[in-house]
Amino acid sequence: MRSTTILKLAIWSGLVLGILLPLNAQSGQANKKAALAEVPQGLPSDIRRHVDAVGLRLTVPGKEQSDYVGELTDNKGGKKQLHVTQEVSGAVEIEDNADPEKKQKGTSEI
Amino acid sequence: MKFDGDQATGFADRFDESLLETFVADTLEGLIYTQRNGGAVLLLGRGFGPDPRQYPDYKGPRYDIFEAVDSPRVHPDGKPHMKRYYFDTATGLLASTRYLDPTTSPAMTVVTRFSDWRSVAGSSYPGKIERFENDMLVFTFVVTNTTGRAKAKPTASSR
Repeated sequence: MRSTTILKLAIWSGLVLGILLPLNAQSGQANKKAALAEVPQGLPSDIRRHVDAVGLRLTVPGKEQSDYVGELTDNKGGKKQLHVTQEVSGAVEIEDNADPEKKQKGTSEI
Repeated sequence: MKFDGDQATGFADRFDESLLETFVADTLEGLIYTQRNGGAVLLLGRGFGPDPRQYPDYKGPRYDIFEAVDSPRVHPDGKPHMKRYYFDTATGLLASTRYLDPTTSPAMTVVTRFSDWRSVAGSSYPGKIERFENDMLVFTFVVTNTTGRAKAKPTASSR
């Protein structure tokens, strides 16, 4: 009787842990992604100097995404327009034939 | 093509892979990603220049060099490899990234150069990015417009 109860408890504990642990892992991954999407905090001072050199986009919230529009020339002389989106999280998206009409309002020419 | 922070998708060939790798890993953002994800990042030193015994009157640029070891992101089957990031000592801005690409046989020397840095609304962006593989130019990307903005919030349909 006692061993049956212990066995049931063990099974239920296993079931509960089996459900909770993956949920906790997913939550941890989501939290990590959210943290990476923010401007970097707590970087070692060695790197901080170079982050500060780049300016606001890596130091102040609100500019975590950089958009580059430009011309790519390959080693055979082929040219195409690209739109590159780079996020501080490390995510990057590259689109061919960037349409100038799609440029974001406030885009600055350099 | 894109890299979502976990995996790369949509690249068709070696050229696309090189292009994506350049923006994902060869940039300052790539070095920060390595640092924030537990990769090994080491400052080798500041103010590197040529051997003063050979060039006693050298007045050219000097570099602060970081060495980073991380697992490849665009080519996930590859082994962890080392990259060196050369920052201009005077400006603090990234000048080049250099490494051996072990995903090719034999391993290939890669140099990505960042130049023509411009300041736009308080942020600096490279105006020109060039990638060389085994000393051969692979591509040049000349930036005509750039902007920084807040990351778009996910919409209900994209969740």
